[in-house]
Amino acid sequence: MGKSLMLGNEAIALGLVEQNCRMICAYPGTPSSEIMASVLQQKKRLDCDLHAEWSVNEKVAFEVALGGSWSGLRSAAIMKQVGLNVASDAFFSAAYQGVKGGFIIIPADDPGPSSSQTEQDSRLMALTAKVPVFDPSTPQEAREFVQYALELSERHELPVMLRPTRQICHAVQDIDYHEDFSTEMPQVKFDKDPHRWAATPRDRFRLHVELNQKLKQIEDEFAESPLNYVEAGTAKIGIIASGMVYNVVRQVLKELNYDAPLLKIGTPFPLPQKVMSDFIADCEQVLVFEETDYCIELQIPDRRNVRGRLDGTIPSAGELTPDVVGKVLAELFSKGKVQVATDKLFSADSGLVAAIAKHQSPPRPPRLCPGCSHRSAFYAMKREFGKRTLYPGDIGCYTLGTNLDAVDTCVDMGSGADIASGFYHAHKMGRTGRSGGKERPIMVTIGDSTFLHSGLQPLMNAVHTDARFVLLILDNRTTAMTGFQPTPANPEEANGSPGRSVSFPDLVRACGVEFVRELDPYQHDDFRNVLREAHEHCRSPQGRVAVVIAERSCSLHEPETVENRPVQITEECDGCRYCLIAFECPALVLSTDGSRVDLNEDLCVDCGQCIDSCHKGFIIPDPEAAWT
Amino acid sequence: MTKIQERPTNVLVVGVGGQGVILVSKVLAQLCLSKGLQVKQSEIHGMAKRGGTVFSHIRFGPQVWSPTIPAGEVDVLVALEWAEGLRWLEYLNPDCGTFISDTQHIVPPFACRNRQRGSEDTYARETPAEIIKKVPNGFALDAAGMAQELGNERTSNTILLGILSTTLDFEIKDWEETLDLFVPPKTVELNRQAFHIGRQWIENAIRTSEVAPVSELYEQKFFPEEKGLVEWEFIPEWCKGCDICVKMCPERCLKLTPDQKVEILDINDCTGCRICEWLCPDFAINIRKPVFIS
Ligand code: SF4
Ligand code: SF4
Ligand code: SF4
Ligand code: SF4
Repeated sequence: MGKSLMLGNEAIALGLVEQNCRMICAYPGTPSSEIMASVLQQKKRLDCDLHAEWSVNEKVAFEVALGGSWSGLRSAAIMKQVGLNVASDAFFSAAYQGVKGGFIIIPADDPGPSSSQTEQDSRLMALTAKVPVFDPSTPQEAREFVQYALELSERHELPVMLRPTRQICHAVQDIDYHEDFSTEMPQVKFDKDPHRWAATPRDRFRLHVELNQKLKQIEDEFAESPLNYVEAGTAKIGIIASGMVYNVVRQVLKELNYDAPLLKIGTPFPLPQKVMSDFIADCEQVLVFEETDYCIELQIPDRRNVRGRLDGTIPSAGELTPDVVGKVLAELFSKGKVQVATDKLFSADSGLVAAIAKHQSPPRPPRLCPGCSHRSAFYAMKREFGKRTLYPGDIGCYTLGTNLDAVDTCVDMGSGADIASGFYHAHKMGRTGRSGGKERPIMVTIGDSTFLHSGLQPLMNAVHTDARFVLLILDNRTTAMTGFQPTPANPEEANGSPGRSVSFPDLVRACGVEFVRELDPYQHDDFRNVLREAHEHCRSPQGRVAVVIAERSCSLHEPETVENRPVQITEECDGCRYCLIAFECPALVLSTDGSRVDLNEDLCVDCGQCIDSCHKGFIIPDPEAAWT
Repeated sequence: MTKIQERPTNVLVVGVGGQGVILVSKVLAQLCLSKGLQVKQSEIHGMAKRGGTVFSHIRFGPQVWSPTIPAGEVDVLVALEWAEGLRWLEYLNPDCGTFISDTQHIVPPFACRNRQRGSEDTYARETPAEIIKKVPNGFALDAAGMAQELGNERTSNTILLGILSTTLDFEIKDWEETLDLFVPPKTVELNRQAFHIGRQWIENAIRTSEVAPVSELYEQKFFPEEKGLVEWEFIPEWCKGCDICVKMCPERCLKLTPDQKVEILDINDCTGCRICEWLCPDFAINIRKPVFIS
């Protein structure tokens, strides 16, 4: 027993372990990744018998966990919000079929978005799939809600969603800690029932009817639940809030000294309509604050006195920060001539702000690390193929290739090769058409983890439909972007025990690819030659898709794999900045007076890769060091 | 001194990925917790870690609801890099906020994308002296340099932590003990030293009532203002169509015409790097550009 500072994700992991969750599957993705990392730590620390895996993708994670639940174990599937799109096929079906052991799905949402392709609201996914949702407001609540969710799931034999947002996943809070929880292994047994576990369409209709009945019961339960409660107030304007924004609203109201009645919703779906209508009836007007979309507001049948994201009173996109909430309330109050304690909160143009208004700090996007093998691969590719080439990309560290003009498209996990197929077929037709378009080289980049996640089908499709492009698999032997989770190509499992690794060349050849080369992207000249060969192969009459596998470990994860090749920038460097822009190694920095480029010895990992980036030969091997 | 009061105290720590922003905020959060205060901290993870902008909000007090600080409400803004400090300045409380910033510049490549000679970079132009005048309380120092003198540039965040410690109402001993928990065991002594260097610096600065010793270096503009285009001069009679310059131009802006002469595709792509001029065995190319005075 004790208090300790915990990240929201760690609190969720604690909740899962202390609630005796025995099967936990995840695919990494910000902001959810630390949940699994922390589960693995707890597992090790408490030496408990639970199956934790980094699955190959979210759909697999969901289905493996579902198998666990159908065998009677409490199970969880963890992912980021867009991962739920990948898992949605299983998610929708599982709602009909139901579960045995408590089953909880945790998609972490990313209002903002801070590192996702969309701001989508997983609660709306749950609403469509008809799965109940818990929406915590703090790390502590997130941990407690795990228990409510698992118990509800078991009572009604339904999958249940716990939906944290980024601000909860990455908020740090003091959490009470105790270790006196049950560690008893439940009975593991799968009871055959084909009308449910292998339901045919006719069974499905019956299951749908049952699902609707369950939701009705759950709604009644939620109406009595302590997770939905009213904090009384004297003002005429009432507020409904759920998730992180509840805290923001509390803070802003307190600072304004405005005593509004507040309805806190912990279970946004199915919405307890009775609680809602009672609250709304008592207020002149009601504001609904929720993230990221309008899930609660949408479910209110009579919205005459209701304002929110749906009617535009509250911005319909983006995170609801204290600034946004403050502004919304200020506008509303000024219209209603409401007196509030202080207007300081809204003084957007104070003297200081005016003074610095002219200032604009330069954008500082993240960059590939010093020594990153992706940079070397991109640089070789760009030097060999230039600006006219089409560069479809994918999702991972290497999306940062946009900084190097080496990534032209990024849609979703695994999309690169599909976009390339589309480009190829379109441009081929274009050539015979009026515009007489030229055939342009196409080079696709995809990381190892992303390729295994969903890059295989696009490759098979390209082979089958004879789309001609070069696929560059950037294999750095880990899922680097999200914190170095192992992939199925690694010799180790999530918990450190030895696993079997998948071989990329075998996999690719099995898809029907004839041109397959493995190579270290640090070998600049060889690498360029192979890329050229690959391109020539894929555009030759007998050719097909060509695959080049760039083999080198992530330099941040395994720095010991970087050979020692220190460099020096000679006196002659004239500050042309070509190396800064085209190579963009963080260790190459503009000198204070801008007249030359210097080496930041602290950041430099001595990989020697920048030598190729100064055409004038002013970056040279350090004459005092022996290169290995 | 910002007294601990009813309203939460707001501290914002900002910098560039890899500088140790999170360490500073973790030490403070742990210290508040050990003093029985409620504390909420929010961090940024994921993409932003790789050399991008990093920030961490810490709020503490008897009761804290939201972990994010509204604009204009930051009591102490600690910046580990100069332009990052300016980026977040609008979050500072304009009446009583304290701004503590390292003057070190980490110029992102985006600030010098325009490689034409004489072009300006877009890095922050404001000098520490200008900014310090405008904020209610401001301290700018070359913490990175001081850390280097101490023997480890990575301790610059601890120097700034030392300065932060003088603005909040906690005992020195408690700061030291909390700091020890978060740094690698081998560097405990070093970090304590850095912490005190920070405290000493601010005491001197206040005693001599001098705002901050701003090094001359940062007062000058980075680049001359005048812009000038490159002139790419070609003498066709001397060119034998060897293709060397076309192959070597890093911007790929040269092309061999069907009559085996070189032509420049778009002069705006040329950065005047002179590679073609140097490599041409027949001196067929001349590059003219404005003289750069540094
Ligand atoms: S983490 Fe690894 S893969 Fe990602 S940018 Fe850094 S070196 Fe490259
Ligand atoms: S090292 Fe070479 S490419 Fe880089 S700035 Fe100096 S001269 Fe230009
Ligand atoms: S050797 Fe060059 S490329 Fe490698 S880390 Fe150092 S500066 Fe960067
Ligand atoms: S100076 Fe020559 S080599 Fe350099 S960018 Fe211009 S044309 Fe290309």
